[in-house]
This record gives sequence, structure tokens and C-alpha cells, in this order.
Amino acid sequence: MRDAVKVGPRLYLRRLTEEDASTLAEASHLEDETGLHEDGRIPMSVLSFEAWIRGLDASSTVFAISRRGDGGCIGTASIRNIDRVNGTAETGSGLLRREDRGKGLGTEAKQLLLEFAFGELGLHVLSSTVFEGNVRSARALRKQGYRLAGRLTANVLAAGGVIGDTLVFDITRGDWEHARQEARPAEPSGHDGAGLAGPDDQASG
Amino acid sequence: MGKHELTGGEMVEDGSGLPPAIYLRGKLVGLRAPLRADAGDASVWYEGDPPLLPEAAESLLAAGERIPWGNNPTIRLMIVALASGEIVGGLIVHRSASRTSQLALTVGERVPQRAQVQAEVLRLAVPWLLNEVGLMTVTIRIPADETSMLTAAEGAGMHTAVRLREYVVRPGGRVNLLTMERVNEDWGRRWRRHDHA
Ligand SMILES: CC(C)(COP(=O)(O)OP(=O)(O)OC[C@H]1O[C@@H](n2cnc3c(N)ncnc32)[C@H](O)[C@@H]1OP(=O)(O)O)[C@@H](O)C(=O)NCCC(=O)NCCS
Repeated sequence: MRDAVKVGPRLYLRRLTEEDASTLAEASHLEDETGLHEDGRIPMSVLSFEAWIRGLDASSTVFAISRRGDGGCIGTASIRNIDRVNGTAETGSGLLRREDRGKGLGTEAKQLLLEFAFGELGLHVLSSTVFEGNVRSARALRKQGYRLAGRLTANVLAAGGVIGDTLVFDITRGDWEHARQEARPAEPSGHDGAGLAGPDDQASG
Repeated sequence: MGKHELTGGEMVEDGSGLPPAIYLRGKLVGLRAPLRADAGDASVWYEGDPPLLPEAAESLLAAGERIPWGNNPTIRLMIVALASGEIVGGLIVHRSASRTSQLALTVGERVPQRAQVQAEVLRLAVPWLLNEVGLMTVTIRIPADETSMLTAAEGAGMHTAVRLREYVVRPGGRVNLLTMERVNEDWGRRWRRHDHA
């Protein structure tokens, strides 16, 4: 688990690097589900992903999602628009292949991302937006502890001239801590082994 | 900005050569495009975290001011007191795909009749953006403790669409961040809505 930042039972998060650009570009050509993204599917170049990764600054943290025992990239998990004054940011995630979706992998990656956002970054509240047609993603967010904060009416013009709302979710540090306590009532307090990389696995920087 | 009340009445010519647009004038204030010379008043109109030095403000205006067609989705306007010609605030409209928009409204902390100015600007700008510019939605994010701004948004027909909990930090604790929106009903009639599950 080279450069692992957060480790879960099946997955780990590591920094996204320019070497991942070709995997992301290829996935944009092989996407076989429609209706996930408001702009529709667009084939994207390796160059464009390399430029995007190079251009990431301190306002974003983007991780590659990797399987344990395999350093590849099966998706991304991101924290964007980090506002260090207010302690807020927006999260997003995506699994690249259809066969990986709906198996709880996105939720495992999100739990690791939340640990990083509330733990290492010390953020207070996170938001996330979903096109209302993306029922699976909205469902996954609720399962991950996010609550519906409202909807932006007619915010998305999707395929076929259909206009849809954007659902906005939020999760506070309090929600997250509460959910963790509920999930692990018997766990002794102190260091939480699951989900934290060992010293050898810590990413540099 | 002086400490006296903003009185209504005839527009004073400020010599800038740009009067507030005749279709965006209220009783107290009007809206006009920015001038290079406005850089000196950035502390009043700039929507970001102050301070913005005049040189930086001039660069910001020079970099941002583009004909607002085609690829430029942003419209920045100065809020000018009609009676004195002084700048009392700024309004910036971020459009997305010529369809949706987000506003940022700034009115100087010490501007007299601040609440009335906020209300008047939104009552001028929101119908203009919906009915003339043709946007489908107009939104604005307002911390829940900014009551005069919330009242102004409500006065412009906006409603709470999103409430992000504890999203803004204040000296005394955290407050929610509301997104207020108004939807152009004409669009609703013309376009097919997603089938709510
Ligand atoms: C969004 C995403 C990251 C979620 O990760 P995931 O591993 O698929 O999520 P999970 O399997 O943990 O949870 C998905 C939930 O939706 C349900 N679900 C799966 N397919 C569904 C469908 N077609 N319709 C409705 N619900 C569905 C699952 O049953 C599960 O709920 P449950 O555990 O309560 O039964 C992943 O689906 C994905 O990458 N999708 C494509 C990209 C995307 O949409 N990104 C988000 C853009 S906002």
C-alpha cells in the first residue's frame, strides 16, 4: 500500500498523481452508464487529466481509491473548496467501473474520506451535491450519514431537455462522531486502528 | 460614504460618464458597470475578504471586465447612491450556462439605510435577471444571522432552498448558511421537469 493515507477493510486512499491520468481518461471512454453526470458522458484526454491533477491547489484534496494489495485506481474521492476559516468543504466521489458500484465500495471510501476531512483537516461541516436523477448516489450519501439540506430548483439541464433539481446534502462533525459511536459501541476509546494507515503507510506531505 | 441618509431624488452627475442603467434605478440607488476609478472604493464593493488594495482592485477589474456575452458568465455592477453618485456597494452575478445564477451582494457596513439599499438592489436585480436577461433561476447564499439581507431576498420573491447547517463561523458560534432562490416560472412552463421519484 504505497503512499496510503487512509486504510479500510477493502480499500485505501492515496494521493492522486499524474500517473493516474491515463486510468481516468480510459474510464471516461468506457463509461457504460448514462444519467450520472449532468453534462452527459464526454471522452476526456490524458493531457486534460494531467493538467487538472497538476493544477490542484491547497483548496482541494483529491485521493485515488485503491484496492488493498493493488496500487491501481478504481475511483476518486475528493474534498474541494476547502474553506479553512469556516471549516467547510465539499466532497465528491466516483467509482470508475460499473461493476464496482453498488457493492459498498463507495461508502467505504467515503468513510475514509470523512475521517480525513474531520480528522486530519479538522473541518467542521461538509456538503455534497447530486443531480436528483442519480438515485444511487443520493442513497449512498444518506447511508454515509449525510442529511438532505435542500434542493436547488431546475439547476440541471440533463439529456433530452429534461430539467432537474440538484439535491444538496450536509454532514457535520457532530453527525459523523455520533454515527461512529453508534457503529462501534464496544470499542475502547483512543486510537482507532481501522481506517488509519500505519506509520509506514503515511503519505509524505 | 458619508454618514447622512441617502436621500432619493435626481441623479447627481458624478463626472464618470456612466450613469446607473435607466432600467436598474430605484429610489435610493442604481446599478452601473464598473470603472477603472472604482478601484479606490474596493472596500465598499468587493465581495471577498477585505482588505483589497486599490492596485489589486484595479487588476481584478481589468482581468474580470469582459463583454458579458459568449464565454463571460460574470456581470459585475456597482451600486451607486442616486443623490450623491457615491459607490455604496457591489453586486456580482455568476451565471452558469446562461441558465442559472448566483449573486453576491455587498453593501458597505457603514452605509446609511443599509437594509433599504440591500432590499432595493435585489428588488431591481432579481426581476431583471429573470425576465430580461432570461435566467431560469437566481440564487444567493446568506448566513442565517444576516437578517436584513434575508428580508431583502424575501422582498425580491426569493425562498429558502437549501440550509447548510453550522456552515459559517462567527465569534459567538456557528450559524447556518441559507441558499435563497427564485425560479423563473416561464421556464417551468416551457421545459419538461425531471420525474420526481
Ligand atoms: C456514487 C457512488 C460513489 C456510490 O458508491 P457505491 O459503492 O456504489 O455505493 P454503495 O454501494 O455503498 O451504496 C449505494 C446504495 O444505492 C443503492 N443502489 C444501487 N443501485 C441503485 C440504483 N440503480 N437505484 C437506486 N439505488 C441503487 C444500493 O442498494 C445502496 O443502498 P443500500 O446499501 O441502502 O442498499 C458510486 O455508485 C459511483 O461511483 N457512481 C457513479 C459516479 C457517480 O454517480 N458519482 C457521484 C456523482 S454526484
